[in-house]
Amino acid sequence: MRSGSRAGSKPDPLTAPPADPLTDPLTDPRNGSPYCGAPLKLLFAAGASVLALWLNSWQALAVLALFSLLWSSGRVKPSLLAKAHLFLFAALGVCLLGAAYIPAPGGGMRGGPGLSVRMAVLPALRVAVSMNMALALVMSSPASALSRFIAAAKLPDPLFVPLSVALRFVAVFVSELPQVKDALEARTGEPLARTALSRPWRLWRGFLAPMVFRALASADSLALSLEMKGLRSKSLFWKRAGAFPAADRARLARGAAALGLCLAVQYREAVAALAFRAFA
Amino acid sequence: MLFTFAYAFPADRDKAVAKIGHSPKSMEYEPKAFAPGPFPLPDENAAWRFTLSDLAAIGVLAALARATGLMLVFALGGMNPVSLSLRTMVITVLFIVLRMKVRRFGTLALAALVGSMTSFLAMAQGIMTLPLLLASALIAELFITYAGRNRAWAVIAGCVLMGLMDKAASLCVIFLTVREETRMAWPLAILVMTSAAGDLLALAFAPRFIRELRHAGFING
Repeated sequence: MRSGSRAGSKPDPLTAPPADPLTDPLTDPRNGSPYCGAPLKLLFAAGASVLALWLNSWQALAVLALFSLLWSSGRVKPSLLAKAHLFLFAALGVCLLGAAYIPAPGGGMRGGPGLSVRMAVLPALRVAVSMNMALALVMSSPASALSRFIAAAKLPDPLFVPLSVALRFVAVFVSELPQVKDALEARTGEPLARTALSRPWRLWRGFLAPMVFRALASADSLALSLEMKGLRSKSLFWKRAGAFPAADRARLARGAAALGLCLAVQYREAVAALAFRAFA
Repeated sequence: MLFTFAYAFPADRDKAVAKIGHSPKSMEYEPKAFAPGPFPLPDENAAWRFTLSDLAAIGVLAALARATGLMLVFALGGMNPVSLSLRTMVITVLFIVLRMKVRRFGTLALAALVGSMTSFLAMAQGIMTLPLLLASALIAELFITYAGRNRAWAVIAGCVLMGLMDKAASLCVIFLTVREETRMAWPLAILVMTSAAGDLLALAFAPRFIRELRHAGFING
């Protein structure tokens, strides 16, 4: 019996009918966000990073870091999260060691002899917040969900067209670059890294020039085909949903409350005074 | 392409404009032979208006900058001086090529915005430096506009200026992040300055590359 005719074998992706948008878990509105929560994650990643830069109390930053860890732990593999934190603290340790040899401004050492480790905790917490949010965004949002969100976000055409082209072509160029690298290595007879160190000008003719020529030719033909198809951004997309569906609104409210709590911890004296005035 | 070749010979058109002060009707493209009905032709001379080919070039070169940067990091490693400066040099040269190809005010700002948004969407990085990067792109555009947007040296100097201002913005964000213990910023500042050297290397390499692209016909003027 042929393996292709066995009952229950996987369908051939070339001959299988296209997926029904209403049964696709990414697009079915009954499954919550049609964009896998990508806008929410984008908003939180940006908001938490900016808030981490703003906060300067270690208590508030610790609360924010804890929230970001909880947010990312459900979306990123624990082993990857542990590796990322290990790398982060190793890098910060190197920075601390390097900084220990630099005298503090104004003479003397801040916080007593040696480096002030307590002061180094605040930058570490800030970087940890950004890293956790970035990992949650990148590891749990497929590129198709992000593209769909960009399509639905009704960006102006001068921003939408290059952004969608760039997102599409990054993958194309990344898949083509190894061929160019192999061609250069075949021509020079040595690995790319060694060529870059010994004769970097060879990279110019062998690596960058072919890629730029290819990119500019692609841009011209892409523009021609877009014009021939009569590109109108309003008619391109079969689906235009709101950026924040109902399932995401509750998560948005919870996230905003968490960020607000961090701000309240930072300005706890003012909040306490306000509360005292309200209740007294 | 239908709209891009509105004038068969742009050099002749420029000479005629310089002589009589306006574009002669006889040299303009006649859409009636090809178009079934009246439709508005985009004003290609408008400094702010981007055609579809401009937008496609911006998107493709932003993608190429991102992909080449990734490739160099994979091939040479991320944290060594050669990789950092080469990556910066390639990105600056690509910005120069883009500004030479799309000669409109705002090209650099749009490319920087698209590049940052791509990075943010793909790797969630670069959002903190985006406002300062946009400001530096606009300053570079003003420099190019006042120094002469058709002069190659003005475009090269403007793009290198933008790269250096971007590095200064990165330094600002680093010092803001470690403001409680600024000595921690010095090792990172050395890395940023190393990558800024790539911008200066682009000053040497970009003219040769532009000459090659002109010979190949991708850039005119």
